[in-house]
Amino acid sequence: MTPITRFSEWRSRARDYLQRAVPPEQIHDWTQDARQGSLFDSPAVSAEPINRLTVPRAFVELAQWAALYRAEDRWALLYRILWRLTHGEPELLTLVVDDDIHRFHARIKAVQRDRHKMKAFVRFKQVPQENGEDCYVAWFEPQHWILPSMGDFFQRRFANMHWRILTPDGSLEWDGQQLRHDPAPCQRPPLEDAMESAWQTYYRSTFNPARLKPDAMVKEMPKRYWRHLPEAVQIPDLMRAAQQRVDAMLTAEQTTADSLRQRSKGLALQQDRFRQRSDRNGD
Amino acid sequence: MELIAKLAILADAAKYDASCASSGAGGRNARDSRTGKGMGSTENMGICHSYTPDGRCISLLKILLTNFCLFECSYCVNRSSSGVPRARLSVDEVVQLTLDFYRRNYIEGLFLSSGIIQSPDYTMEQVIEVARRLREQHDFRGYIHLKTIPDADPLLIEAAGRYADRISINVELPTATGLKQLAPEKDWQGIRRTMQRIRTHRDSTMARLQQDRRDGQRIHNLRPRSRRDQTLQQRLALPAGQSTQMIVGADTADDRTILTTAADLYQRFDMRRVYYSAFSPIPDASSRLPLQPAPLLREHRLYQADWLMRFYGYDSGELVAPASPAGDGMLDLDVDPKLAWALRNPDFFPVDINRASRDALLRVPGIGPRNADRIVVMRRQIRLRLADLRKLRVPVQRCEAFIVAHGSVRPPPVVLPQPRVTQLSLF
Repeated sequence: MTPITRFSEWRSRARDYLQRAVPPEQIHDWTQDARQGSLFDSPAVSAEPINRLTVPRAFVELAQWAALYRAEDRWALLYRILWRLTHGEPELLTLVVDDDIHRFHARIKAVQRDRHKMKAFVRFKQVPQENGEDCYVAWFEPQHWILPSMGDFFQRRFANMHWRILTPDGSLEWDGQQLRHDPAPCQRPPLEDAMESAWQTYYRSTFNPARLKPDAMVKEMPKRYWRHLPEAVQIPDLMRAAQQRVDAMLTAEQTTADSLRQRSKGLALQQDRFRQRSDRNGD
Repeated sequence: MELIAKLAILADAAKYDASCASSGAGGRNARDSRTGKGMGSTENMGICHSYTPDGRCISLLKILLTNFCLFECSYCVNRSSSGVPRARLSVDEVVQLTLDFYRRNYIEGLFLSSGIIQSPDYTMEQVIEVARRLREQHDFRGYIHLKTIPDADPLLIEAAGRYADRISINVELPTATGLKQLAPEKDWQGIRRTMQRIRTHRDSTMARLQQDRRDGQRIHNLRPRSRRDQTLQQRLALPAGQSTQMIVGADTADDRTILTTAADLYQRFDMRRVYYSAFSPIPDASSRLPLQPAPLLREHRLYQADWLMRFYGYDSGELVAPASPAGDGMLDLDVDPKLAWALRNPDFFPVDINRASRDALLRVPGIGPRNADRIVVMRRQIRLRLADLRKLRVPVQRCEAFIVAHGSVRPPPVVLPQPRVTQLSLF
C-alpha cells in the first residue's frame, strides 16, 4: 500500500493503466497500489500503445500543476482527462467549457494563485543563531500542496540568506548551499522581529484614508492570510478612523501660498526663477 | 528625529503617487551573482506584498528622500506652503530600510522620489546615489523605480538608467494651462523633453544590445562568469520603461482632453503606463483647489478607457462622445466606457460569436481578450451556445443583447440602463 504523493509516481502508474486499457471508472482508489490488485491481471493491450500514449505536450506540464490541488480526486481527474485525450478527443484541452477541463483549469488557476500569494505573503522573521549569523524563519499555511514547488523562487530571491519556511505540510530550508525539503509537518513557531514596527508604520502611513475601499483589499488579500501578516492587525483601527481623518482635512482652514511667499523672500525668489524659466520655454 | 518618525512622514508624503508596479523588469536573480553576496530577484510578473484598506497594493517601498520642497504645486501635500511636518532621510537610511524590508519579503524593491531641494539636479543626484549604493555596494537585484525631475541633465538620466528598472516623470495635469495655474514652477515642455530623453536613452541602449547580440554575444553562449555583466547590460535599457501620472479633477480639463493627452504620451514616448489620480483631500489643502474632491468613479472610468485603448483597439476619440449639446466631453459615470460605446453604436451589433473576428468579439460588453481568444479556438470544435459562455464566466445577462450564439433566438432588445438617481462620489 503506497499512496501516490508525487506526479512522477502517478504518471508511471497511469501509463500502466493506459497500456492495459483500464477505463477511469474501474479505478476506485488512487491511494491504493493497484499493482497488487486485479486491474493489473488483465493483459496489456499492446496493439497500438505508442500511438495511444501520445498526448499534447501541454497536458503533462499543466497536469503537474493540477496535481498540487488539495483534493481527494486529484489523480482521478487527471487520469480521466488522460483517458479522453487518448481515446478520440485529442483537442480536449482547449475545450474549456467541458466539465472535466473546466475543473482542470480551475484547479491550475487555484494552485497558481496560491503560489503567487505565498510569494507575496510569506513574512520572514530574523532569528539570531548560535554561530552569530542570522536565520530568517517564516510560518505559512498554503491552501494547496505547493510547498516543494516554491523552493526555486525563494532560493533565487534570497540566495545570500539562510532561511526556513515552516508549514503544516512540511518545511523548506536553504543554508546558502543546499535546498532541503522535509515533509514532516511543522507547528507555528513563536517569533518576533524588531523590524516589524517599522513595517507597520510604513503600512499605516502609505494608506490613504480618503479612498477607503476595503472590498478591493479583501479581494486580493483574503482574511485567511491576515494571520501571517504583521501589518494586518492594524486594519480595523485604520478603517474605523478613516472617515474622521477625512472630515478633519475637509474642514481644516486652507493655507494660502502667497502668505508664505511674503514671509520668505528667499523662497519667493527661487520660485520666481523656476517660473520664469518655464515661461521662457513657452507652452 | 527617529527613523520611524521620519519613515511615517516620508511614506505619507509619497503615497499620492499611484504607481506601484513592479512588473516588466524581466528575469534576474541573486544566484548568478559573481560574489555570491547578491540579493533579490525580479520575476516577469510583479508581486503585490500587501494591500491597504484603500484597496491599493504595496509592492515597493514608496518613499521620498525628503518632503522639503521649493515648489508650490497646489494639489501636492508637500508644496512649500503646506503645514505638514518635514523630514529628510539620509542616503544610507533609505538603503538600509530597503534591504531590511526586502530580506523579510515585505517588498519587491524601492520607488524613490523626492521634493525639490537646492536644485533639481542636486535632488536627482541624491536619488541616484541611493540606487547606486543598492546596486553596487549590496548587489541588490530587486526592482528600483526612480522619479526624475523636469529637464534633468541627460547625463543624470543615463546614470539613473544604469541602476533603475523604471524611470518616471509625472505629467501632472492634462493641459499646459492647468499646469501653469496649479504648478507654476513646473515646465510643460521641460517635462516632455525629459520623457523624450528617457525614450532616446532606452531606444539607443536597446539598439546597442541588439547589435551586441548580433555580433555573437548570445546570452546562452556566455559563460556563467559573465552573466552578471549581461544582466547589468540589460538593465541599462530600463527594462520596465517609463510611466507617468495625471491628476484628475484638480483643473477643469474634461475626460476627452485627458484621454487625448494620454494617447499622445503613449505614442510619443512609448509610455508603459499612464496613471490617473483623482485629486483627493489632503491634510492642509491649498485654497486654490476645488472644494469637492473628484469622484473616485471618474478615475475608475478613465482607467477603463485607458485599458480599452491599450488592449482592445479603441481609439481615444471613440470613447468619449464628441462634445455636443448632449455631450460634455466626459465619460459616462453610470455605464462603463465599453458598454457606452456599444449603446452609441447599435448598428455594429449583434455580433455572431461563432463567426465574428476577434476584433469584433472584443467590442462585445463582457468579452475580454482572454475569452475572445478562447472563443476563437473553441469554435473550431463546437458551435458555442450561451451556456458555454457562462462557463467562461462571460456575464451573459450583460452581453446577451449584443450577440448571437448557437441555438439562441434573436437577441432581446437593448434596454438602456436607468441612470442612478445620485452619482457615486466619495462621501
